[in-house]
Amino acid sequence: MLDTLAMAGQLTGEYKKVFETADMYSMGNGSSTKGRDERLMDLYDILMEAQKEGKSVEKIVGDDMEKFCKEFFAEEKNYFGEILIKGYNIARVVFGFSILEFFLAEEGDIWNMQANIFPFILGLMIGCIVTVFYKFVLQPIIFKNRKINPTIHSWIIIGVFIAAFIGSICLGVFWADAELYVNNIAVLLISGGYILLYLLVRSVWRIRTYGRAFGIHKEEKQLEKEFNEEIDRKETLQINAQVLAKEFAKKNAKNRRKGKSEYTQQEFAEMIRKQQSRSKKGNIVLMMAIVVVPCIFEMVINDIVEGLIYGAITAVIEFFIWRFFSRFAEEAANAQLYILEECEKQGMNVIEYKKSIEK
Amino acid sequence: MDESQLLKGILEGCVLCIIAKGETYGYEILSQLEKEGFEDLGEGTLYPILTRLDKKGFVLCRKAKSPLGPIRKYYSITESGKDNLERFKEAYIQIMRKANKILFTDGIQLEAMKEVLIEGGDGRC
Repeated sequence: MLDTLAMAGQLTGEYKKVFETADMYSMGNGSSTKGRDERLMDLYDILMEAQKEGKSVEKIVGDDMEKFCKEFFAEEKNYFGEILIKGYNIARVVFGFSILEFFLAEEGDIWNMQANIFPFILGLMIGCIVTVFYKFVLQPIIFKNRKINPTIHSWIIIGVFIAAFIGSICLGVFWADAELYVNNIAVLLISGGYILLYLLVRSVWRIRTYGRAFGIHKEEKQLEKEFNEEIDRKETLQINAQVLAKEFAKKNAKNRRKGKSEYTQQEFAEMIRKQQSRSKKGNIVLMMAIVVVPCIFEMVINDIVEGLIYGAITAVIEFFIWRFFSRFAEEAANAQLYILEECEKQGMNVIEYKKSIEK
Repeated sequence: MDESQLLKGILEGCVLCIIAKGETYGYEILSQLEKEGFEDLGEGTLYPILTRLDKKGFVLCRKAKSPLGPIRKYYSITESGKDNLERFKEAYIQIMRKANKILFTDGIQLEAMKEVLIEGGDGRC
């Protein structure tokens, strides 16, 4: 899937606005995910080229953005295909749970095991209501109101999801006794049958269209992965150049107020490097403390062996959590070091560097 | 008069003709069309045509990274696309012949039409 927010960040002014509006429009117009991504990539390519050549956005989209979007995404509408794919995804979940029921079942006749499918029906119902509400009520309002920007749009979507989540819980509580039992074998056969049929039809269609059933999108996925990585790298670089430029300006303004001399780029770079080194050490100490303190506590309160086992388990879990979050901090730190190096190479300060990459 | 209805069918043939000249991409096709006088044509019109041609199997679509970074679709014509283009040209001549007989009875307009026909294209597709 494309990182459309990062893509929008590579465009400026009216070009960016057009891309963001088309992105918002495509979310609820019935386009398939793949079709939507392809069309947005086409638009991104056009806008990048137009931005480079200085071609006006009016030449691309005309004076009616809604009309443009309708035409532009017209061939990508595929409600039927999307329903089949969604059905396949639901069937996989249902199938997985049914299989799990067999393994978790205590002794008894597995052929007569009953499964409560009410939660699935409830989930499906809420999903349908949310989709219809978004598509036919919210999206037309959002699109007509030109003032709504992507951030507000994202918050609206988050709001709808939270409302759906709370709604599910409330309905679940309201229908706490509601049960809809069916034979687990029937659930397994229907969901499994749908999965098989879907895969069969997809394979036949792929063979007829592409000449083979597997690996048809391998190269495309690789291209998309490389594109996403590159755009993320650019975005990280832009954000960190902004952070450094702001920090540099702030520190120098403070020095000016105090009557001190301003920082040179070298002094500032040295200061940032020292800061990063300190924060790295601080993180390690913090990580150690989070793991070691509960272990010691456990050893003192209960048992040494238990404390060690507890410590080992906690250390492994927390290590992965820490790695997950520290990855973003590491990426930012590396981007900042790269920017400082580039500034030294090109003989400019971070503010000038920020302006140069904005161009 | 709403030109868009008149243009719809013709454009598909014109786009196919541009692709027949060599592998190309959306923005370049549009620039070419603009150069030939289709100034008011936007991407909103062109891209659905390209998708339709792709779905019909008249063009082959290859994806590659463009110089500015995005993944760009490069289109080239297929054998069935070439056949279709030939059929389109024949049909277009037939329609034009019939329509001209009805439309251009006026002497001045007839002269203008003759000029258009003499101008022609570069005939490379």
